[in-house]
Amino acid sequence: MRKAILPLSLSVLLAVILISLGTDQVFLALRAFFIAPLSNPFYLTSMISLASLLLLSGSGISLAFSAGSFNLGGEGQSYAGGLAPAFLMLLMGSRMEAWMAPLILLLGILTAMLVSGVQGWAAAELKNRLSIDPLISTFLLSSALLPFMDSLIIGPLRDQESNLLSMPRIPEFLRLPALPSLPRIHLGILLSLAAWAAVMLWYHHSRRGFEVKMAGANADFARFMGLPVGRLLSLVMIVSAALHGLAGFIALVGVQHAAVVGFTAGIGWNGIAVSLIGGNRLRNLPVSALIFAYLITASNAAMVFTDFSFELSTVIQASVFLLISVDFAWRRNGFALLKSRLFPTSGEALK
Amino acid sequence: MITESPFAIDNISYTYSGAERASVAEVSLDVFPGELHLLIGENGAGKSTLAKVIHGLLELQEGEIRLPASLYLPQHLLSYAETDFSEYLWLYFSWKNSQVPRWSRPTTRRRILAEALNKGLGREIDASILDEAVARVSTNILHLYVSILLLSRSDHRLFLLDEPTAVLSDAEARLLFQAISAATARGAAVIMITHRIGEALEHAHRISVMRRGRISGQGPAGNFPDAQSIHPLMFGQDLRENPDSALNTSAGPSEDGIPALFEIKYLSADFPDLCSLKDVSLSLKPGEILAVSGIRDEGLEQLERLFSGRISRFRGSAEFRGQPVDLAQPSALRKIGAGIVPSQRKRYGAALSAKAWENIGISMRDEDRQGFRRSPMSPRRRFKDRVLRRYEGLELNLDVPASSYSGGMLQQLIVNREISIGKELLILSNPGWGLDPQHRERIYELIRSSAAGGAAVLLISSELDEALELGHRLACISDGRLFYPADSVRASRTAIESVFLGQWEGVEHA
Repeated sequence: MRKAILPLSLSVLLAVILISLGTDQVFLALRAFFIAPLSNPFYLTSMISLASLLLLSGSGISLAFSAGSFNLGGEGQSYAGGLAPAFLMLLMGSRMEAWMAPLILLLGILTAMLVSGVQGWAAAELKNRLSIDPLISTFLLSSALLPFMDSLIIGPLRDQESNLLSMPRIPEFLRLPALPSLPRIHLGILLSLAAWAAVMLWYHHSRRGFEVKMAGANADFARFMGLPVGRLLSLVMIVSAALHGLAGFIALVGVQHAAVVGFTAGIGWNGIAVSLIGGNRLRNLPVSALIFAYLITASNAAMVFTDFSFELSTVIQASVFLLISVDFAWRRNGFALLKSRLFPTSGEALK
Repeated sequence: MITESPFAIDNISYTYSGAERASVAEVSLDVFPGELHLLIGENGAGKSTLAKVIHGLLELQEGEIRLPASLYLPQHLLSYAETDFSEYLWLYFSWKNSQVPRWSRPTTRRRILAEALNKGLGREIDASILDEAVARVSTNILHLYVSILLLSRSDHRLFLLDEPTAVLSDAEARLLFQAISAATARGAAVIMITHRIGEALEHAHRISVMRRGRISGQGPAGNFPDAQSIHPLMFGQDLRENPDSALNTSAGPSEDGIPALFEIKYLSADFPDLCSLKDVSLSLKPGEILAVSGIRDEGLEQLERLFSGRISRFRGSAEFRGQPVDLAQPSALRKIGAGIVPSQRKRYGAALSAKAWENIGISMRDEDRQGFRRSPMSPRRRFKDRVLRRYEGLELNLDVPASSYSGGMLQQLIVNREISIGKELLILSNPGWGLDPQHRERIYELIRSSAAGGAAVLLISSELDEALELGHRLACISDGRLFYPADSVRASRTAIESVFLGQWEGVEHA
């Protein structure tokens, strides 16, 4: 976690420089960037709500990484996790009644986790049977599904009475309960924390979680010790994808209340940054999700309060990605060769 | 020969981050051009750390190094499974090597490598091995070829070799010493870490002994007539006479009527990179140690792959207590409770990024199933405590990552774990690899105790001394066939080595 301080500081510095260059109202913009997310109720609650979604997607990424795998398909998984329950609710239509809400929400959660979990399972099977790296398969699968799902929202599933590119809004009684004065503080935040805690407990304290950790540390060794490495990979990829699916579902019933095009707002991709900031450790993720959500919210606030002409939040997201990745690669061994050339020691590293 | 002023290492120290004491403390060495300098010490004495500091893999913290740039052979070579062997060797051979073209075609590289290997080994190699994937090349060939290529490079004047003979057969070790002699003859200095002291003494010019991070003795090789004269410097005490090469006279299980515990019947398997196993049959009774020895590529590597579930197609059968065992399943032998020590310990023996206790705990996870369920609060801590309690006799700090262990310490961890698992059946590949004589003797004692407690032990070893010392029965493997030499042959090393090389003329076998 401490390792992320430098890249995060550089990202904030970059934001300050861009704000200074991009607007005449520098003081106002900086004030909005640094103060608004913590003082303005709208931005504060938006930040917490966004952090809860990022906590889930970050957990999915960290879990896959801990098992020695990758899940770059979070965007498609969370999108499907929101779209499938929305479709289910559309099918049920007027047959839904308020007293059925808990059951329908439970069914929605299961549907979300199922349709996203299938994507994780498919990637694991491709690895187990054809040795196709999940790094590639999750990304490609997600990239193929996203435009397909968009076409469904824009096409056959679109709400004909709305000007938005959106499916019909879900009924009021299916929206997650929220604080009356702070509508963005909804039950989904507790649900996210509970899911994260459950994954933490499972990974750190269960026998299966221990096996996953050892398989991630050295798959050859784990196989040699008799562990079913292929099955463990399937399990982890399903759980990882299901967490993304749950994030998509909460985005639907807790935040957007309709499957609008792009309604997941990049939680799949940003989960990777959250995981990297947290050093790919589950226990660090609440803090790293809050930090990243703060950066996004602060950038949005700076834009809204001033005459910014471009998407500051997108630039900040990109810079966090870039700087964290560079730092990550440097600390591992990707830059060892460059380092040895620039700062030669007495011998020649052949190892 | 030794006339030039020495290269020197003055007063260097190195302490790992978080460690309480220095792994290398105030070490000074004189290294002369044209000499083979042995670096000897018990496990964890700091030999490998010193080599890494000299080479620059670890940052120099204190002291001064006045040495030319070195070429370094680590104790464990990293293995890139999907890489061609020729590409892998080229990495070592071409690194800052001004004598090879900067740009070259794969065929040119293979030719250059083959020529260098032929010259270094003094015989023609089978060049087709260069096209194999590294994962299919046996450990001993990997080490031998990389060592030979490094030593053949005349552009360097210092070589650091960390346990280069550990996995080599006696014949292969002789080839390596030839290459070392050629390097020293042209004025290069070779610093070699080894536990196989006896054979290395014959070739060494100077010896430095390390104990607990410090130099406990140093001088010309003539001052150390045999391994026994070095032991007090390594351990601070006289070891009892080690029965080096002596035949084990204990008879093993005496009752002939006892049924076999583990049997292999007429097992044959083809390997794309190695010779086939041909109708291998063996039978193990409770309490018996069967040692299988030979040249690694001639059948030992194949047997190890078979017993670790890496071979899915074979003919023949295996039985445990009369019940069939499907060796094609990686977990088949684990399910019957077998302890297995692999020769590639960093790849198959441990997860280096995990804590040492976790590397042991992986074998205890089933018995702790209830523990995980019963307490939702901190089962991981209770699990850890349980592992630590069971292994408290082990003189290792188990609460550190396995990556902080020296090679010998890691081997102790693995062997102890597997002996603990294999109450009835143990399959051990080179269990003494990388261990100093004291720890090696302890491990051997553990193996003997396991056998005395009723375990059937299959020892697969390329070290004939180890096989002779531990085995109740000896089997030799050559060209994929298993032979059981008669007692008269067992008594003669020369006869056994002839069998290893496939020379059966005039040799009696049972």
